Amino acid sequence: MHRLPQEAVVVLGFGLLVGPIPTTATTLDIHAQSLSGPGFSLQQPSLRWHMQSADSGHIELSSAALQLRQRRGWQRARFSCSLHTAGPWRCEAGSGQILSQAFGPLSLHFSADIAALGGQAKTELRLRGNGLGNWQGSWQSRADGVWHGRWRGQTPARIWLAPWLPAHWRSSGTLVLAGQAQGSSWHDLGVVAVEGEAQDLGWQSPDGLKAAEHGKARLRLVAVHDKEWQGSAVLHWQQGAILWTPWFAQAPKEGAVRLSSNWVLGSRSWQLRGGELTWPGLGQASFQAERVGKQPVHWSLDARDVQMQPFYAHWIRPVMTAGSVPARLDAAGVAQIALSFGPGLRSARWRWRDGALTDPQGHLRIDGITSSGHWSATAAGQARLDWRAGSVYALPFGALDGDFSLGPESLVSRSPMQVTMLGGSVGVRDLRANWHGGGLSLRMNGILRDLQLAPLTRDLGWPPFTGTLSANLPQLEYAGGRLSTDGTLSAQVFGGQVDVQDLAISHFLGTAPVLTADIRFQNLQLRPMTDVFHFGYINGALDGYIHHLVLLDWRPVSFDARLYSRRQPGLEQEISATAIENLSRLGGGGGIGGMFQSLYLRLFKTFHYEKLGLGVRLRDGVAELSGVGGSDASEPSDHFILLQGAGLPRVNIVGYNRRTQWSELVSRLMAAIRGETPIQGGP
Amino acid sequence: METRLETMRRLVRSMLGLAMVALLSACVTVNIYFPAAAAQKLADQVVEQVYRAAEKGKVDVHEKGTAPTDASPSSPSARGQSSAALAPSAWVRPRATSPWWERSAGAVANTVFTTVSGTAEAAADLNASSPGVVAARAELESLAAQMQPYFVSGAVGYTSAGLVAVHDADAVSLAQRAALPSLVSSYNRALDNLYQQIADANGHPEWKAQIQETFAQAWIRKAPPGYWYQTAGGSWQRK
Repeated sequence: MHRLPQEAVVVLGFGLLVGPIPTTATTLDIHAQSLSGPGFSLQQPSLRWHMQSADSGHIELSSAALQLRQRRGWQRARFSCSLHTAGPWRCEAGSGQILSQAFGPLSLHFSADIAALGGQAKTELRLRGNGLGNWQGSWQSRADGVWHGRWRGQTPARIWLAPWLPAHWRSSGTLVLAGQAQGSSWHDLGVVAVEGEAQDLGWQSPDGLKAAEHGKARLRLVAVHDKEWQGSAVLHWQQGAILWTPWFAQAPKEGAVRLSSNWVLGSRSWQLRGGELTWPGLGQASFQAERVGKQPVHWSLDARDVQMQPFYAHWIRPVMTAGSVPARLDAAGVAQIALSFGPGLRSARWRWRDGALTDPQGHLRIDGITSSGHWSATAAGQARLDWRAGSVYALPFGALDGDFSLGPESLVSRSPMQVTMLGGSVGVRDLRANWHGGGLSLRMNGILRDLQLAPLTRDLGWPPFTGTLSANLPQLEYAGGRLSTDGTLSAQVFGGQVDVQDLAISHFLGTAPVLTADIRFQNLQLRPMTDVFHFGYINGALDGYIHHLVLLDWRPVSFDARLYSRRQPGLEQEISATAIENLSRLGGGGGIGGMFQSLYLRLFKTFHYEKLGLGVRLRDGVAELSGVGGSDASEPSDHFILLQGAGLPRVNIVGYNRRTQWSELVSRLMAAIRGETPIQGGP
Repeated sequence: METRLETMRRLVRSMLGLAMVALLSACVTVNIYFPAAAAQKLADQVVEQVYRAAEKGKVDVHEKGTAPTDASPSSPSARGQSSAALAPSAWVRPRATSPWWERSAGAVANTVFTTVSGTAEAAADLNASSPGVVAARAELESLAAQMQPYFVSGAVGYTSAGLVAVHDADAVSLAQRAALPSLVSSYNRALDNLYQQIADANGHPEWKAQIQETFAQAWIRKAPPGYWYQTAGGSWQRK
């Protein structure tokens, strides 16, 4: 390849133009193997000047391949025009074709005025290409080499998006652009200003999970070159939607999203400085970003007055596991959030006020949230969390004042916390949460102090118990949606004690929570219990247990339960006629139906009893009943004794229906407690 | 003569010994095979309920769904002696009420059958009423209601492995597409959990793969028209 020195190119070109002009038609052909200069190189360039008269002719320029600055990909260029040399030189009716690797075949129409050699020049250009759209522009050059250009055009968006999008992504839409540029010499580009509008812009990844549609946006870009490129950009996003799974954002109806930033583009780095984002309805943020070489992008964002309702719904909820509790919560309040990334989240600082979290299914609600703190991926942080009140499964709880230390993947309470609940309090000590590997686990020591059972049963719609619940839970753990305890919950109920052990709840706050526990009753006083339940008067004391209790969605699925009387010195074991009738119905009978039995019961208001006992074994919706002897005692298989009378007059209650449907048994129990006529079931 | 008698005695003793060994072997060898028919029946029922729940967009945690048992409302053991003793329909498993000799005869007959056939199915029905199964079903039905528009539009479909996969994300709007990968992931976790819970509830965790295979066929067989599914070869087809 023959390469001419730059000076040789210039001398040759001027020499031809200032030489004597012939009076007859003459053709001048110049061919070269290659030609290069500042910012360009041509392969096999040729020039043909067909001089038809002293002041006019036709000129043709062609080249097999072109390289402009560092860009290759231009081939088979051919330009021609009518050249007039009388007065200021003019190149009229110019046309050209060039094959662009990026844009396909392009056609060009132009006219040019050249004032004088080395002086001013002016060119009007019209460019058209199947892939490039339609462009028109002008170019002017002063005698000192400073040039200025303007252009305006419309082009398919895919031409400009293709270099930025990964392979096999589709894009659509139209770009309307207008711009100006200026340089100090013909191969220098010093200032560029562009205004553009994207219409019906869209793109999509092959799997369809990253996409945009119906986008409308305006961009204003100013770039100045001084050692390196720098400038500013302002983008207004007006219409459309963007999907970057799992996030989806739609242009707000309240007004355009405005994104502005100053920028610097070096040879090996770029920076965004003083960026501002205004998102109507969501908040405002300042941001900056930087990338050096092939290092990860470092960027930070400082958001102000963030409305937590849309922020949680559109930016936090999508990253939560579908079907989980956080994925269905609604948030409220206003927050300041500062985040830095690079790579991944490196630090976070926040202040959230007037906050609330609400589960639309009604399982959880927390009001009056105030939280602040900072977290770092590499250093210790701290956080505060306060709330005014809330409720879980319709049980209201009071205020919290929490102070925490934060690690990269952990949270530890710095002091004991206490929340009022059900007239008592729930204390939490040594709370420790970990979120290693995306899963959240939580451990704490809990203390329940004097929780009143009356409001508990009222709020949950259970039979009205009275008493208090206290417990020391040395280990309370939540992991994988399962809440479990290691310890005993003790409730003081009806003068006795109820101990709950091995309590665990799977799918806590989920669609179908499963509760398992073992419960033991000791010395329950029957008189206050039957007074509360309108069951009829029974005096005495009960012991008992519920083993292997399983509740699904808070309703019993299986258990082995037994309640039996406990003889206490000085405590009369008595039962009223009403209680006998209710007990007989509970045991599966239809009540006291016989005339003699009714008269007998009315004659004596109370009866003494020797033993009272009821066993229920629930499996598959069927309750197997047993009496004072228990399920495996020596009772005859066809009946069981619920009440074994003592003295005279004596009443025994004997059940003959060992198996009954659980729902029916519950109906009878509830009817008896409310003092209503029991529901008569059918097969 | 005496030698022949001794030989006969030895032969009889050997035959008796062999018979004893054979009998003992027959008694201790229990081959448990996967109850394919019961599994298919159960899968059909569960699948139908999930499809129904998805259409209604509603979850009833306590709606029971098990393979049918042999109890009937009219069975004497289930029928009480008063109006309060309800027949618990499909949930009763009557206790053996036959006399001891009848049960013993049955046991002997069963031993003989086992000896002859050498195999037995573990159970006539599969238990699907354990809390784990019911909770797993409730979770699945809850997610199925959310998945419904994606199935109907063809955005997702069932795979031949009894799970779901994205078939054509373009079939739904961008807003719906945002939740698609997370939903598919959660739904597959719920399906996997259901198969494991059924296997566990029946005391055979190792049956999970077979249960999953049975459900895979049921999801496709019972799918409403318009649903997409993936064949064993990996191609997608529309019902």
